[in-house]
Formats: sequence, C-alpha cells, structure tokens
Amino acid sequence: MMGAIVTLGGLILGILLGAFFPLSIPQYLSKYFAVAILAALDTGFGGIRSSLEERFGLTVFISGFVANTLLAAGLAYLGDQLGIDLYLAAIVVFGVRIFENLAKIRRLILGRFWTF
Amino acid sequence: MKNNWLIPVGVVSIVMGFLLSTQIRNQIDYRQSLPSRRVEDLMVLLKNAEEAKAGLEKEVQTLRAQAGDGSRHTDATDLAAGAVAVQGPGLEVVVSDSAKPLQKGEDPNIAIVHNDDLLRLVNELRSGGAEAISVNGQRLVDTSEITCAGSTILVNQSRITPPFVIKSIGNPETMSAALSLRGGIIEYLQFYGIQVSISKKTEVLIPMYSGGSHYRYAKPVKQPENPS
Repeated sequence: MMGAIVTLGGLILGILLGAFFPLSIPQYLSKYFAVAILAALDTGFGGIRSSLEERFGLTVFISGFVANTLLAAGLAYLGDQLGIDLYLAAIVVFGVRIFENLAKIRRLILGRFWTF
Repeated sequence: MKNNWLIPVGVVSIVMGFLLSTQIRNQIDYRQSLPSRRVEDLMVLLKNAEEAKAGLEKEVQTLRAQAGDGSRHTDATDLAAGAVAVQGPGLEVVVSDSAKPLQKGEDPNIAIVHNDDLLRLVNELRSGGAEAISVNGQRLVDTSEITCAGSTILVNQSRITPPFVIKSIGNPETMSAALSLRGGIIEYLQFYGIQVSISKKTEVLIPMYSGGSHYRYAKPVKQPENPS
C-alpha cells in the first residue's frame, strides 16, 4: 500500500517537474531519450511485477533501472554510429517485455482478488 | 518488510515521471515547430498570414483616412513619404522573362529578370526625373528595397513575380529617353531576350506606401541648422 502511494506520488511529482522544468532535448537526441524511457518503463513494470510476486529486490530494481536506461540509449547511439537502426531492436525487445510484464501483472492481480 | 526501499523507489518514480513528461513536452514542441510541418501546412500558414496582412493594410488605410490631415503633415511631406496615392503623367514599363527557348548549354539565369535589372531600371527612371515609382503596386519610398529572395523578388518586403510593372510619374519623354539610351538598360535587357515594353501615359496612378512607420533607430536632431 505504501509502495503504491510512493510510486504514484513520485510519478506525479516527476511529471509535474518535467512539465515545468525548462529542459529541452535536441531533436537528434530525442530518439535515444525515447529508448531510454522505454527501458525505464520496462524496469518499472518489472518492479511492480516482482513486488506482486513478492520477490522484489531493491538492488536488482535500482541497478536494472540505471543500467537498462543507459544501455538502451548507449546501444541506440552505437547503432547510429554503425549505420544500423539498433534502436529498433531496443524498441521491439522492451516493447515485448513491457507487454509480458503487463500480462503477468494482470494475472497476478486477478489471482489475488478473484480466485476461480 | 522494512521500509528502506520506499525512498529509492520514490526517487526512481520521480525520475521516470520527469523523463516521461520532458520527452513528451519536447515532442509536442517539436511537432509544433516549423521544420516538421509539411509544405501544405506551411502554405496554409502563409496564406493566412498574407490575408491577415491585407486586412491590416486596409485598416491602416481607413485609419489614415480617418485621421485626416494632421497639422504636421503637408502635401509635400505626404508626397515625399509616399503616404498618399499620386497621379500624373508618366511611364509604364512592363518587364518579363525571356520567351526565347533556351539553347543547349545556355545558363537559364540569363533569361529571367533579376532584382538588379529592376534596380537599374528604377535608377534610370530616377535619373530621368521620376517623382514617384511603384513596382507591381509597391510604392518605392526611401527605405524600399529590391532584393532577391530565392526565386522571387522582394519589394517593400512583399514578394513580387513577373511580369513586373514599373509605374513612374514624371516627364514621360525624359524618362523614356533615359531608359532607351544607346548601351542603356533597355538595350542591355533586350540583348538577353528579356521583354521590355515602355508606354507613355498621360495619367498614371501610383498607390500609397502600404507599410507601417519604418523609423525605429533614426531620430531627428533638434537643431536649427543642418550639420554638414
């Protein structure tokens, strides 16, 4: 319960901060930023899932958040340097993982409240 | 379960929210900025802006008419500032691009009317004693420019396209003589196939200058005599 409040509150606070903080991303970096956000989202959903499964590990979560974000952006950058759209791979992988996590979360919540 | 994970998770969600909304805000900004707009959108924008400009020009004219003749303005200053439409005898010069088909290897640039051609025409007209000149309905005043802007020519910061109609008021004989000098501007233009026609008119109407006040930096010096 506390976790949900802290997470939601943090998200809202962050969104407000981002909406009013005049940080502008140059267009050519926007792609990397988007991939990083996708990775962060994936880690976030993964965290929710693991906490529902009651095997949430703080160090795994934090390190996953930082590493996934940086790695995704870094790989996208490397791909651009090599002349291949490696960020597409990142988008596919993280997209699939996000959907998987969402499905797991849905099943866990369903299993918790409705038992058939 | 201890609560020592609350702070890191809170920080992570703040960072996440920050990243999300920053990126979304930037994408919205980018979509609204010009480079990503399509040509059609830009044309609509341009058309709207031009319509607004035409409306505002009408407003300027009605307001000027309402303001009547202020005490400071005399006919002479109005004439000199281009603040009134003028009529009188003069010339109408029509210049348009060459109609000759281009030979192979010929530079297409020589077949079109450039801003310097118009400048030279205007200059010759002035040397022939023109008192008021307009190019495609744009009254030339002291700050008027004739510049090249891509494929069009800018006069008074309005785009004009061929055929260029240069109207001038003055002595028609003197002005047409100035243009048709041997080795002069008309001969030069016709050499390149540019079509020029001069017609002397007993009555030429030249519109007023439609722009706003254009003095932002220059201030009159409060001195009785001119520093020279």
